[in-house]
Amino acid sequence: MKKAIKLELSFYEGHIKLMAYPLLAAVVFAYFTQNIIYATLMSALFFSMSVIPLPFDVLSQNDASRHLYNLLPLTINEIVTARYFAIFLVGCCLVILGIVLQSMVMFVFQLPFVVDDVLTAAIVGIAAFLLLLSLQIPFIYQQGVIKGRMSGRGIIILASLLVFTYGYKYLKAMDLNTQLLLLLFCMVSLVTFLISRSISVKIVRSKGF
Amino acid sequence: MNALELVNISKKYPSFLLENINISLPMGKIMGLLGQNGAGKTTLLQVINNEIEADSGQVYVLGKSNKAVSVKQFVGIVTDAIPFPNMWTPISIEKNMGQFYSNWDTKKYHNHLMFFNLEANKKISELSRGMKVKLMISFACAYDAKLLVLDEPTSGLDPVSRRELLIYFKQYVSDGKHSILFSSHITSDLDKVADFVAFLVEGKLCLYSEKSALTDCCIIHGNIEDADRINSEAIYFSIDGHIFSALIKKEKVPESNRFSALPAELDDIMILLDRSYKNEESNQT
Repeated sequence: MKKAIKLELSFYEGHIKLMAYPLLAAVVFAYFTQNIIYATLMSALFFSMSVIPLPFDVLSQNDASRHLYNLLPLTINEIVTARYFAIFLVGCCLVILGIVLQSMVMFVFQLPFVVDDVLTAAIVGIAAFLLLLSLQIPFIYQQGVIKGRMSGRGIIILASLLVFTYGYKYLKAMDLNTQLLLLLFCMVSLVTFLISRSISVKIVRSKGF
Repeated sequence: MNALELVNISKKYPSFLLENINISLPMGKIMGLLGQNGAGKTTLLQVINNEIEADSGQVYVLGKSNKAVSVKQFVGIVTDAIPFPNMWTPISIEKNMGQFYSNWDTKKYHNHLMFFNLEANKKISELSRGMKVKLMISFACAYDAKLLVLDEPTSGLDPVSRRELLIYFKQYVSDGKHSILFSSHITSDLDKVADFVAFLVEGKLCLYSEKSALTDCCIIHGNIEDADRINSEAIYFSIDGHIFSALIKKEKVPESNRFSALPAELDDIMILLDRSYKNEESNQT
């Protein structure tokens, strides 16, 4: 599995610039929102848009790349799982790097900044990224990079709207504390990830890469 | 042990049927898979490579089912398109792919790159078709693939590169531990290197034989009036207008000036098989 993740990470080599733009956006969010948790959540959305389709994009530049995995002594389960983990790893690094940069900006500009929020922001950012990648990847496997990316983003926008309009209201009514809310969010992300991964494995088994 | 064994392989598509293919390739041998465009060569290779699943039948590579993941450790696949990302170089192939193979030999890989005059830092997108084929072969050899499955490796190559590759194939199997299955419609290439030949016509295996057995045969052409005399002795027989053609053992050629007997070249056999199959089809309908 480690080797497969290393292979997946190799697709990001030479695309550092593409990841620098969302990092810049993360800093801008922090400056304008003056709330590191909210800024990290928004950044995670931007990171997901550039990071998740990238390995699919790199491979789709060469039509024959779909045969790449056929050369490898790996099962479909291992290949798909490695892709999820590699994307998640890159996303985590970006979220953490984003938080560091955001904290620096807030400190330099002397914006209101609570140190405790940094940990919360990291958990929220990472869980949000996991949720976003879990929502997008099955669509990309099923419909290809261009169509799948659009469908995945459509689902994200729809889910975000539902959460902001209804979810937030109910959660507020339930009067949950922050820790419980965080735990709930992480659980939802994890369950979505597990379901998404098994759906992707099924898709690849039936239609190939 | 056979390097490759196909048992009753069938694969059906709406407009095409690969039917009941049985082939064995012994170790240390080269088998040429011949057939017209659309005969089913690539489909058969895809089944062997486990890229598509056969509707029925089994594929065994070195005695193991081709569905076993470990089989990839000793099968080298060389298709007409290179499957690596365009931005990769031969060096990045080594770095990213070599780790998966237990027999990976970096020195061997670099020796092959040098042998084929491939630049280690050249991007894949900048390589010619011939260079890509050579790179794929270098890659497969670096992990000591016991079976090389090649899909039209020599088509589109210049004569010098083709010759170079054919000599390399002969050397590759010379130790008796490696085998090659290679599909082509360039019969002259197979004439030079193949030990076995398998002819596919419209998804059917029409002939599977040691090539040396075919050198004992000849193709005779004659007038349709004499067809009955030959038909019973012929391995393959076809009629085209008033002329018949037959593949026949040399010793069975009747001594008569009514026939012209020519050495059985793969090219002629391919044409004869194709006609013979189409005759059978039209007789059935």
